[in-house]
Amino acid sequence: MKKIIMAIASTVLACGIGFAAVGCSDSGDISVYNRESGSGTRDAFLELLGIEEADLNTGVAQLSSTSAVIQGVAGDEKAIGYASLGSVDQTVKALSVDGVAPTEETVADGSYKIARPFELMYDETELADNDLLAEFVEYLKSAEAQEIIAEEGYVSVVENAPAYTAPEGTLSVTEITATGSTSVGPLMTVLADDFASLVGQDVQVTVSGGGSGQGISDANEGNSDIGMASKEVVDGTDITNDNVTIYQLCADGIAVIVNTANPATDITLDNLKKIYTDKSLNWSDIGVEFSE
Amino acid sequence: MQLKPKNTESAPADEGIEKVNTRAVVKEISMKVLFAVAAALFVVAVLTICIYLLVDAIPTIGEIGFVKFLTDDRWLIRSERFGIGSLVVGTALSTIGALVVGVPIGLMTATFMAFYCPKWLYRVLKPLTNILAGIPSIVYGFFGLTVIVPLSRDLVGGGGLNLLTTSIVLGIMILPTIISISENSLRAVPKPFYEGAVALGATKERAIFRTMFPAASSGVLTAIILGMGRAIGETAAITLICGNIDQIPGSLADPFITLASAIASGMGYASTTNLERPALIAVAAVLLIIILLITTVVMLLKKKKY
Amino acid sequence: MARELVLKEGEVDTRGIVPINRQTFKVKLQAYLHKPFSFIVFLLICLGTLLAAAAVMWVLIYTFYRGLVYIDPESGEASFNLTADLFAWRWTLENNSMMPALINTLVIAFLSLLIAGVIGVFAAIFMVEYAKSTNIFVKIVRVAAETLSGIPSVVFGIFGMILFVGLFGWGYSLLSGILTMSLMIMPLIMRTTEEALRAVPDSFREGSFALGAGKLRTIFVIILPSAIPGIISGVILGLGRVVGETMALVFTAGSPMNARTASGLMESGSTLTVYLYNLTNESGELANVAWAVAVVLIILVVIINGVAEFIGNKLKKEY
Repeated sequence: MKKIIMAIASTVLACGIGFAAVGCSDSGDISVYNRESGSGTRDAFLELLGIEEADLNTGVAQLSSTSAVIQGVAGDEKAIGYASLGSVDQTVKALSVDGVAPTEETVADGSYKIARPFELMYDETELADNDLLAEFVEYLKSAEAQEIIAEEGYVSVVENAPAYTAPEGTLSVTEITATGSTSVGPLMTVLADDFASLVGQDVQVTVSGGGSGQGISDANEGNSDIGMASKEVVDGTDITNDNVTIYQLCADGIAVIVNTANPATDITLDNLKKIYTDKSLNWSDIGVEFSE
Repeated sequence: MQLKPKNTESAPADEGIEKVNTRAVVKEISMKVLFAVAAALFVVAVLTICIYLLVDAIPTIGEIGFVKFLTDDRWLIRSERFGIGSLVVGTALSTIGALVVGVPIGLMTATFMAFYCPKWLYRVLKPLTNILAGIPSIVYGFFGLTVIVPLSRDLVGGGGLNLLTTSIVLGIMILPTIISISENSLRAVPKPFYEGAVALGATKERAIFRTMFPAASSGVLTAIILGMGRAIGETAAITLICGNIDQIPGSLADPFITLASAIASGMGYASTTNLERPALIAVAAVLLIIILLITTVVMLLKKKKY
Repeated sequence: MARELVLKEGEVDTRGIVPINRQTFKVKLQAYLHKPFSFIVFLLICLGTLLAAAAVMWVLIYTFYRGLVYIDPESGEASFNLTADLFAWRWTLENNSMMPALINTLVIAFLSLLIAGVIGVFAAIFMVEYAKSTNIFVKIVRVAAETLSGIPSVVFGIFGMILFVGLFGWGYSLLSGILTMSLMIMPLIMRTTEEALRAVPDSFREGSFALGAGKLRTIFVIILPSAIPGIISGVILGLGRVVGETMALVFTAGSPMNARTASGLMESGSTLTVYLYNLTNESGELANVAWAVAVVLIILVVIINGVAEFIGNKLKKEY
């Protein structure tokens, strides 16, 4: 028995070492980070670049949250990735695309090409019973919410929003849930916090991740009070429940991010498309030379 | 219910006993039934889980196509390609990797603890393995992500989320299972086996590996298979460090995906408008079947006793 | 106490005599020189043990270091990490308190242990006290328990998600999480309780019957109290499993980003592990929080294991 185990172990070990030696296939030196299949950010990114999913260069990782991509790119010198503009911090560098820097202004006026809406979905008929949900929706449309949206680096799409007034009576519902996109999540968390302090009662909006797909299905099936999606939601195909209303919370750019050690500051849409379809591409092929 | 007479002597004795008896019998029987129901709940739970997942999975697999589901190596939601080829290969490779790391180290440690360890050291090592077993898997994942991933990135290049990293982390994770079960089975071998071998002139090592290990083989094998089961079913840690890419890894430096991590990273996104959610449930069913096979093997192994 | 050794006739003073099979280090080394392969194996054994010990220490020491030492993301300055802020009663965006997650963990753990404890103990009573071990039903239950304990947590998660969250319409809630966790730890509690019950000597039962006690009375008054340490250690092991579980809870109890204490069983709430799962990908400030949660988790688990072992050892001493 021992011999058999030993034999298996040594064969496996040999195979492993062989694997490692053969390794280093023909892929280029660009560490491409993706979101996983089904992410709203990924869907929007692929759609805007016109890449078929089957042709996509899956790269070194498909990560399941916005912050995971940012962290991955921050730790990997040769990395490139994409993430919600509002979430990008100083640990990574956002590239200009075709000479246009990703800012709230360029997203708002449409000159920055890679942008998508943040959508919320909720059941219209629930508003009558669920006063907290109704109150929260009213808050989301208010000037206070638009201020937070702008502060957090997203693009408000509502003009001349009315100021929010706290409800007079006590709300009968004390907790509602919002589930879905991890890109919308951080913004919703801040909004929920501000809302709770404005209402001045012990109420809470619980924000959960899961991704746009789940946000849509949760809203459709009534699993959560608010569904969040970071891509355009089509009434009729995505949302089949007639009672569900789609509300655009704001607009957001998708920033193309690289490591801070990367000398590049600009990338063309063409090159971006090449990187995300061609596995064998090196940084030098698109004119980026690392100083080493 | 009639109150029990205080003075039992004044009441007809036979009647009293009979009454108490019927009451007691009813109580006994009803409790017995309750206990049996509790035991039956286990069977119900297992059957519900198996049947639920399989019933959900079979039509989905039928719709995708049995052969296509098993052999297609891409998992693409927009193009509705749901193939678990790369998932199964990834699970197998990461499990083998974990065994390559964990089994030799684990068996050696078990041998040390069973035959060489001085008492004071044993009192340190044993709790340490217990702690290792108790650390939540998400902590291992986080540790792997922040400590081992950068190391592996420097070592083999790429993103660091790859087969090598996962093998190391999983290898550490299955260590306690392998150590404690094989140590127990080594200790369970009757001492005369060892003494006999030494008396015949074998060195200590020869006695251990030629006499004790063969005698404890079923236990050691159980340890390895249980470790394998843990590696196959591990989710939270692997999802963070495998890279989640639906491809068959060409080298230790390539990212990959396992059955469990595909469920974990995909389920949140699973939309009801296409086949993804049912397809992921089918993946869970496949995972369940693999684990059921492993459990069966373990149970068969346990029957063998000397 | 020194005692004068009194030798009887024909006896030899054995003090100071070295047995001939006692090997000195030198003898051992010489033996190894004759058998170099054995020596290599011996070295491998030591190496393997060292590697295993190194792996444990690596994980533990690094986690404790990062968990206890706060590293400022900008200046790199170090200070104590487990501040009172992290244990504030309410979670806010500023303090990132793990207290609500800790409370959720305890609520889920307590209630799922209650459910699984009752079912597990009752089932074990049936298996040990009522059924004959050759009974086919007993065999089926045993196989079922064994199977149940082998199912990976992610499969439990999916099952809980389909059944409790979806079909029963409870949504992502503590209740869904509790029931899923109960299913997961039932077999563990049943197995340990079974062992504890079997360890109670039959003479206890016979004595109780002989004094005229019924079966139920015997079980609840005589057997269960004697088996309590074993049962408790099983329950505590189950507690450790609930505290360490992540995936099954993400799918059933949800993974809210704003980690607040759930206000009821129908609300979703993240446990410590799920909180850590949400934090794993954060960098800078939040990475410190994540390490702190990791350390608290390990400390919890170590305490739980220690208590389980202590109580388990007590059981051994009794008979």
